[in-house]
Amino acid sequence: MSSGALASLADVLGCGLALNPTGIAVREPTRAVTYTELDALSGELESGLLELGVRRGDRVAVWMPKSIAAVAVLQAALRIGAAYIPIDPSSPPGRVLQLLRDCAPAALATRMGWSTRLDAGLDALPTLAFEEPGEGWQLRGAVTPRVAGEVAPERDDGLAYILYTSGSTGAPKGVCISHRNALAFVEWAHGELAPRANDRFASHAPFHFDLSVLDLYVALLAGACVHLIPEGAAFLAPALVAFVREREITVWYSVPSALMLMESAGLLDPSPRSLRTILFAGEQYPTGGLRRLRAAFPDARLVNLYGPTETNVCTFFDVGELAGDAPSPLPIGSACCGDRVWAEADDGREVGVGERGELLVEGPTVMLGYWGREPHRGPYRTGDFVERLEGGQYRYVGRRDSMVKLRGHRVELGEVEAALLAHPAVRETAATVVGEGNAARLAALVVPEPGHAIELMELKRHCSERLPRHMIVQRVEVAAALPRTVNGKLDRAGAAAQIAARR
Amino acid sequence: MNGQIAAGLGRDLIAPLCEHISASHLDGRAAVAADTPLLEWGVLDSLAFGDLLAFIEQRFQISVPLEEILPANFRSVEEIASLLERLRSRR
Repeated sequence: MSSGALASLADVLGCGLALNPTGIAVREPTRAVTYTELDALSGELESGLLELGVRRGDRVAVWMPKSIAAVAVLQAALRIGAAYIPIDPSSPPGRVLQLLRDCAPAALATRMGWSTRLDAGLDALPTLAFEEPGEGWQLRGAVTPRVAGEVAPERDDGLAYILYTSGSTGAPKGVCISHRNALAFVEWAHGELAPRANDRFASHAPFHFDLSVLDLYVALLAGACVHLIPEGAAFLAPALVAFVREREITVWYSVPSALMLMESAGLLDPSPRSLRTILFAGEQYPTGGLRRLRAAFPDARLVNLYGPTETNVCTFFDVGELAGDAPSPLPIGSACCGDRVWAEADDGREVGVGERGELLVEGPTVMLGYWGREPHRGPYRTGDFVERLEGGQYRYVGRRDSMVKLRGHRVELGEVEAALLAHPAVRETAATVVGEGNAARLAALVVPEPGHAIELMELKRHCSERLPRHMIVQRVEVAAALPRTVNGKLDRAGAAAQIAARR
Repeated sequence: MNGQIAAGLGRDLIAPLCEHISASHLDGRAAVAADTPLLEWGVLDSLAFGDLLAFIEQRFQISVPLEEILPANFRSVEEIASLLERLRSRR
């Protein structure tokens, strides 16, 4: 089957199945399933979700390790016409409950041992619970008889999945992606990368991170094999390098931090011949490191993808030859996936070549909106400042708000601060990032409440009940007052400088 | 596993592990106890594993096989010590 005619993300697995029924679809460290087996498992789990009462238009939350079972649950939800919500497996139960309350799923798929950690906060949410170790699963909660006629995949503007991202007000935001949104990207990437059934995709990003959409669906569309990297190994450089060599990975996609770590663990000496495409996104790849990657992989295609979760990928840059005088950082490139992008000046006009403005995106990948809020309309304002280059290209310059990236993870400093302020010892705080690249740390300047002591470990414990791990503060410095601008606004640069000065 | 620790096995590992993690991953600004939840509190993040495994290899001459690099084995210094004790007794 050729791509370009899909209406539902649920059809993607069928394409791979038709192309490569006996080929391996997904591989875990010690197990693998063929396309036929994955299809059958998805069908069994579909029946299980139906028995739990999940119906078309519902939502299914998925809080479990990256695994064949997790891939099959996502497919099972899509087949019913339900949307799925992958939740960070390392999230604390408090945050999982917060997300569950927000998106009100009809069922939760999780590990048996994990569901008990949530029990106190759940009013009998039907659960599909997987054994560990093992491959069995159980249904728990309201089991309803199967109803005919309510099962058909959602399509077009129907909801396919929700990805939660950090929100500046302290509450995570659920980005709602439709089938049309997801397929606009998947079909563009499939056309651009031209994968074959004998390709081996590494799946580095966790499923709650939008980079994983390429690994999973572009591979499945081509009948290729997806090699899952377990969460625990995602930044274990020697293991990743060994993985690429042993599995003879052909397509790699990750944040630049992971590739730079792998370089330090010997990825380039010698570079594995199997790798023909290396994609990266989520943060800037320093040009020096990219130059070494280019030299070590002269025949591989190196591609930078760009886009916030709200627009998935909206621009791309093919690194190509990388001339000696190439600018640093490299451009984020030009529009893709059928989107239109442009930069707007403060006065609302589109900027000319050489000028800077906020990047706006309009087109098929732009989200439906945030869960529980008014639907999104019109172009999406990325909050990213860019410089317009010749030929429809753009270069990233910086953010206009307090969002930062930590190894590709989006962190709203306001959400970190809100969690810290919930602690009785914290009167005021400014969160910031100190250090760069893989040495970057999340730090906070804290003004204590009178009579309270500020202890790093106590604040970490406190935050660990509220935030995903990558948002737990790593360094805390105490101050008598926060630095402010002449207008009284919080001076984050000043706070960062104060923290750095205490080293 | 914890029973073994209480009985004394692996105790020689606990102090150096606590000191190393405090010095390398908390800039020496806070102490780490044997039962501090290292992963849950974000003391060890995904990037820290490479450093920790290198430290274990260099200090104790124990190399941790890939299949043992599981969150359950690195939840606390106690768990790490009991993993290392198990690996040591296998030799």
